Amino acid sequence: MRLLSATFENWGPYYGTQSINFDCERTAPIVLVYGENMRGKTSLLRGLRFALFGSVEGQDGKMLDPAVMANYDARDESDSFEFGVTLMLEHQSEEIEISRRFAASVDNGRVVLGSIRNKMRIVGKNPIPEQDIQEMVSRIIHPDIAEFFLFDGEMLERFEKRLRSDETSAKYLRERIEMVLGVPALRYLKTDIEALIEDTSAAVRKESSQEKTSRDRIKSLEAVEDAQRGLAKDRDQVTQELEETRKVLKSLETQMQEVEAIKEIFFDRKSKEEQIAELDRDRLGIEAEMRAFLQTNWWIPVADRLSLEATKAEEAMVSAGLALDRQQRLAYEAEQIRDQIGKPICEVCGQSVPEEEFGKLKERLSAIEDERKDETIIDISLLQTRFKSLSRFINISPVIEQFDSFDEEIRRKIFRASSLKSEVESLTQSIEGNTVDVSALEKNLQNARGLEDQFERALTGLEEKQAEAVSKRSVLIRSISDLAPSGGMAKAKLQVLEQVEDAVGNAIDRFRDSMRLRVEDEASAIFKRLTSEKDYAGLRIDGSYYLKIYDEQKRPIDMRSAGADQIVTMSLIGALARSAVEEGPIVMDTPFGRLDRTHRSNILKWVAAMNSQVILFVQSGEFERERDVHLLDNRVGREYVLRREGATKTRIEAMSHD
Amino acid sequence: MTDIDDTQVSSGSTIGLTQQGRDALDVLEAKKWFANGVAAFRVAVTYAIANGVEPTTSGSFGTVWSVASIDREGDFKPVVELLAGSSLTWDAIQRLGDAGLKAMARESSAATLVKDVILNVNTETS
Repeated sequence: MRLLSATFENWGPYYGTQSINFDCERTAPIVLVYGENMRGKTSLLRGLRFALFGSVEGQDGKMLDPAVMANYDARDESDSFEFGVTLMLEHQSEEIEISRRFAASVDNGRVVLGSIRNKMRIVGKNPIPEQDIQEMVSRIIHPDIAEFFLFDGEMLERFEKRLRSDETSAKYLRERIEMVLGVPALRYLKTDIEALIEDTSAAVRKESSQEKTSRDRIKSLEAVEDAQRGLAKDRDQVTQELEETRKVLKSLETQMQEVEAIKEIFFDRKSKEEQIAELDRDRLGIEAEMRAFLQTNWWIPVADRLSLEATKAEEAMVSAGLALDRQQRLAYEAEQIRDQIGKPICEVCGQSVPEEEFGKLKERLSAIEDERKDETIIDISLLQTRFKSLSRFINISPVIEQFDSFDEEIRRKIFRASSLKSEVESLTQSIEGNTVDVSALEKNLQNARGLEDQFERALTGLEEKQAEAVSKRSVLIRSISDLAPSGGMAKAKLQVLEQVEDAVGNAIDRFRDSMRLRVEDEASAIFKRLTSEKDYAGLRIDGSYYLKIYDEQKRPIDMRSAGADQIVTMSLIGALARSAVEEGPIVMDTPFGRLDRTHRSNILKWVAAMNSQVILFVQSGEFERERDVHLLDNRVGREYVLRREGATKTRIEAMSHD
Repeated sequence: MTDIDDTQVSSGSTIGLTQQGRDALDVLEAKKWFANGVAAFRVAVTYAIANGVEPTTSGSFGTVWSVASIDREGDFKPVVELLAGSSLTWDAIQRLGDAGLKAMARESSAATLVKDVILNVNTETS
């Protein structure tokens, strides 16, 4: 069987009609659906189960009122609406459509379910009559084994919990294996034969009741049968009490799961609040630095002008210096010329100075005096003082950059804290109104588990006593039959029935053993592939259904890690799925949540190597596309993202997949 | 700059603010952008110069700080004089600061951080 598509109409958070196409090439049969917590991954899984079996199951396997799956927005929009799921699948080369839809009305905001319309048709053929739909679906995938194909992380955890305890694991494992492999059906045959033996032995008793010895044995037999009846009655009572306890336990476990989910949200919120507090602390630190900065850099508003003024002051000082220098040089030259003109004999060579030379000196002196006529008095010290007070503004870039950096840093912190605050708000809304008394719940859970163990042990004890009584009774019946006159019809019939009973019993045992070995082989092969522990060589399910990991020397390993427990569970489920039918899709909702990276990567590689269709509903905490998708070895045929459009609305969006 | 009401001048050794100036200072102090009132006042003076804010010309100025506390390092008044006139008195600086504080407080209502105010050129007068 292969899923082709699913269409959800006003189902859970999926408002209107939204579809997922699962039909992929055989070479890339994996479909990935990404969705964060509370986006509706579990609603998708519930939708698939609903389309197949017509019921809505909670994560504990308990039936839920289908009204819980009605979309809130559809409910609020109109007084009546429809919701449901349509599934297209392929089975034995035929396309089959299964559709289940509820007509619903709204009464004071509450969804009231109307009739359900179940439709099933093989494409190109007449619709299947409604009363035959369940039978047809069961032939494709039986509801009893569906949990091994359509499973979620929570189911894995429950399965694992049962396997972890030696007292319950053997019985649980045996039940699961027998259920998947159809042993219960064979047992009905044995029960029928036992009923025939019962009738026939009554006739034999009648035939042999003439003998005194026979009469004594018949009395003993009757006593054993009385005891058997008593044991059966006790067993029924204990079974009933066990079932009641299990119901209570399931309900408590569901509440506990809800508490766990709340706890997770609470811790998530706490961690976000701590991040906000840290951001606020950092921000306050930077703000304090900014305040200290503005105490000394109070001129920031006029920084540009000061920088310009500083440059101008520097230029003025430099040009004034040059002008002053020239003034001083000209004054000196004029003084030298005046001195020379008053002396007709050269002081250096002692010769007389020609008249024309005096003329040139007088001309030069006149030019200098002309230039000095417009000279102003330059007060360089004033310019120097001005420059001195502005010099620190010549290069203000580092200061401005520091100011900008404080500003940007504070803004970043504010922005991040604000996004985190919105997330905290949304988390707070999601856990509003929950007032569970966790310690009382844990105590009740503990008590219920204790009771379950107690009843299971009592049941095992009663079963052992029943087996003893059956054997005693069998011996007595045989001995009575031996005493019966030969040639009697009843005696002959009883002998044949006893032989048939033995043969059927042996056949069931052999079948169970061979199937157990098959599951063991499959599980062991998967386990070896998935485990990251080098010392683990495989799994073994012994004759008493004790599940053990063994090493290379075939020695059982008693101490194993929590990671190994999860991998054992995953391996068993994989093996049971493989042993149950020839081909079926495997749909996993949040399967890797609690696994470490190595195991996650091993499982993804195993998934990629499977020939089956695999549909994974994952969240970012367990699967990061960039990091993990390569582990699926190009086997991903389609990808979808569950986008949040509101607290009660999610949109299924296909990712482009070239 | 407009004419100054001579009856409200600074004593020359103290700096005061009008009631509106004090209110504006309260607004800015609540924002925690400045280490203290002096720091806010000094930025307000340069803010007023940068944005052409007209000095406060009326109202009664009550003493808030001493001049010494405003210009402890002695670099404040010279720089302000360089920008706003060499003969600027402490009284004129007080009026500029008062007006600057009021303008900054007004701008702060729409601002997230101090940069939004002090580097946001505003030609509006007080």
